Amino acid sequence: MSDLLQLGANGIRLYQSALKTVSNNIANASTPGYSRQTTVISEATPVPLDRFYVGTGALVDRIARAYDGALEASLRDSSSDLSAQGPMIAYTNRVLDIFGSQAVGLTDALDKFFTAAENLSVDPASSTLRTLFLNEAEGLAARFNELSGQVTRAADDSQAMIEQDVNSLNSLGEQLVRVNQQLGRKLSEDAQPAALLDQRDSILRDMAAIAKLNVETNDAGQVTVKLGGSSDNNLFVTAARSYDLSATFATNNAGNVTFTLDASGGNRVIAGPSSGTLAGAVTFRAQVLQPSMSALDNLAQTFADEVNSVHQQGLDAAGNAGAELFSIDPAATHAAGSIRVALSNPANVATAESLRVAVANTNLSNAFGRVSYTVQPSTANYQIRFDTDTTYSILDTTGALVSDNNPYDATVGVSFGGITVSFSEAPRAGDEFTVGPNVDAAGDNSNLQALIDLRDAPIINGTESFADNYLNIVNNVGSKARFSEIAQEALQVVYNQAVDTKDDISGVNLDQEAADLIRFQQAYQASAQVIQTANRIFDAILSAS
Amino acid sequence: MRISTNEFYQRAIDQLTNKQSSVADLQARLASGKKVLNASDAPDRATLILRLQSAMAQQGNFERNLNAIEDRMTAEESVISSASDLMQRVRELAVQGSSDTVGADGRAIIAQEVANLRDELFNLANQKDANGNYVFAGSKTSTQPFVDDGTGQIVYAGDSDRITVNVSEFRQLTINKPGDEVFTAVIRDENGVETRQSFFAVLDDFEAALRNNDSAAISASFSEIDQINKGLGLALADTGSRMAAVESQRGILEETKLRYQTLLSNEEDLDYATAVTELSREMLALEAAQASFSKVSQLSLFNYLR
Repeated sequence: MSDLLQLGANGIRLYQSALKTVSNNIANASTPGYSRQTTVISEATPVPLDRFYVGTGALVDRIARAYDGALEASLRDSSSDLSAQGPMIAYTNRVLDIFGSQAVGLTDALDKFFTAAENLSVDPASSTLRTLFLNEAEGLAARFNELSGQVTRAADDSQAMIEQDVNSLNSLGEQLVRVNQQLGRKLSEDAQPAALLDQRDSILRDMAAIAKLNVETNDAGQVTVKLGGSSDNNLFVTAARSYDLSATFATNNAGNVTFTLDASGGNRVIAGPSSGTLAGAVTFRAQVLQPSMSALDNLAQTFADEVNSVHQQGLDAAGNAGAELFSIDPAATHAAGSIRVALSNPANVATAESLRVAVANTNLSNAFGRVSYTVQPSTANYQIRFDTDTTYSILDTTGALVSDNNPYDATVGVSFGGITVSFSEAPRAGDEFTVGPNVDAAGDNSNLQALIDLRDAPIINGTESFADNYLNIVNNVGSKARFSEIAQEALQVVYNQAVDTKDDISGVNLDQEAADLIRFQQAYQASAQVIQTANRIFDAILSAS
Repeated sequence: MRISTNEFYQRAIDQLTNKQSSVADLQARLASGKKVLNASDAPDRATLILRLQSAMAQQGNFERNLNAIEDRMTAEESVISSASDLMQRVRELAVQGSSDTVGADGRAIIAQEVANLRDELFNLANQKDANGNYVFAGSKTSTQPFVDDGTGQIVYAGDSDRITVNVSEFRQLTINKPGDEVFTAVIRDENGVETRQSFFAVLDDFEAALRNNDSAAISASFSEIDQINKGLGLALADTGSRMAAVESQRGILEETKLRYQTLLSNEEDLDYATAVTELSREMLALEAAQASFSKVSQLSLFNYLR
């Protein structure tokens, strides 16, 4: 009878425990990172009685935590891979939306600049149109500045994000060390409190979202975490301590981010994490930000150089050689950020070409001359005189003879001083043509036309126009964004699958807990009934005497 | 395979929010009438749209240039046409003056009219356009093209520059005509020596010949007047043909503009029929997701436990 009582009491305690575990599961059904717990019941050691063994009930072996280390590791890795796409997509789309915008992008400003040039080409003498042209030039420079500023801001923001992530990672590392130390009190993982293990895994999962981890677990359940590799150089958190991670940014290359562990001690430089939000931000800087920044700067520099080169070949309204239209501070870090318009006086816009061939009023033919050269001469002032219909002399400004008896070939023209003059029709004996500065040419738009021709000329790398080059920058950014979005979709599926697989083992299903609740409740009631039976038997024995 | 209660709700929430954002996105597109709101919506399409807009802007430039050319040429044509009419009168006077029956007094009267006509022609040659630029000075538009060289001779002080503007990616048209190709000079042969005589020199010499009652000089002037008259006629014809070129280029421009506009519209503008259908479909999916979630989430074993 006492055995019966014992068995009943044993059963009640046992099933009370089981019910507690089930209630715990139900209470934690929505707790993130909670692993389902089950009461593992095993048979108690039977005792011998006469010639056979009698059972002594059951006991709680342990509270088992439903957990699979491999699934957990797989979940962490797919979480790293997935979270790497987030910053990449967000920042890349931000850059893309600015660069590719119709209102704020560069193509609109380029169009307006060349439109103003076309408008001016119809009436180069107009000071109103000259002023408008300079205004649009300033608008273009301002647009370059703005885009450069936006890109710099994206660099600053991504840097801040990386620094913040590094801080988070470090503080998670400290939390993990504390958990590790507490885990050090027991020798086997099975003996560890489930809540502590859940906390450990939750910290690891948060860390994995930031950077891909290399995790090793020892028998006690303590973890060693390595970052960016699997050698001892990459030790981040051990059973005893954690090391600080720090990130340093190169000033001349946005994609160059150096990660160092334990900067104040061992100063170990590591390769950057291969996935996680840190990796995503670094990839953005290296593959999108840096190439876009340097391409934009290159475009600004080339644009200024080419426009200036043409502009300086011409003459302005006062007949002076054109000065620089755009200036870039050579000491500035970003050409696109420091491009400015160097002219303020509309009269200084050099619309006219620098040389003219003047026709003498006494010429018998109606020929007029056109000047061409490969390298612009600094000055020219000479006279071509046709002594006969087929030979000519060259005279200088004072009238002194420089060379005579030159045969005239209409297909070649007259070459002298680096300049070739071609004539519209055959000159006649006695005709004089003076090659000199193109003064008073208020209506000449030849240099302006040369500027306008830059619009579609394949200037960059010999194949791309300015607009092409810019749109290629936009395209590259766009395709990187698209790539990451596609990767994210695929990785989301993988991640969901990993979550489902882990949940299969560790997740709490309320219907299942409800069924267990009923089961243990009935078992409890049955054990209570055993006690009542033992009681009645005892009463029966007592009343029998 | 088990699914935890947590995951079940999380999945449902994810699907609902995804559907909601699809619906919101479609709504924004319907409101704006554009397929592509941000470059990040469709990067390759965004760059194509930028290219097309650039091309459209350029066509706008060409149109403006064509208008400017047309204005200039209309002004030019009216001046040359007036000059031509005046020269017709001069030619009539030349015919009159050649006949000896007119007499010295008659010739003096004709000479006076010739002088007046010459002055009018001089004013026409030095005409300015609406912007204050000399029309017939070549590119020296702030310098008077026909001036007295100090000896009473009128010489051409402009240049022979042809000012061209772009009217398409491949074609340029000349906006002006140099003065010395309108008011042309002649080559005078005197005893084997050839000299160039300007347009106004011809008229001045004709006037002098009339006043001097010099029949030989008058008949020499007659052929020169014919030549400069022909020069004006050629200039008028040239202006006319350039105006025709402007018209034909305008036709090409209209076609090109239409082509680009169509391409741009295809890329940029929303097809309302498709978008509205898509919106109804997405809304239906959202409603179904919401309804099914509310039904399924109510199923729990706990409902059946007393």
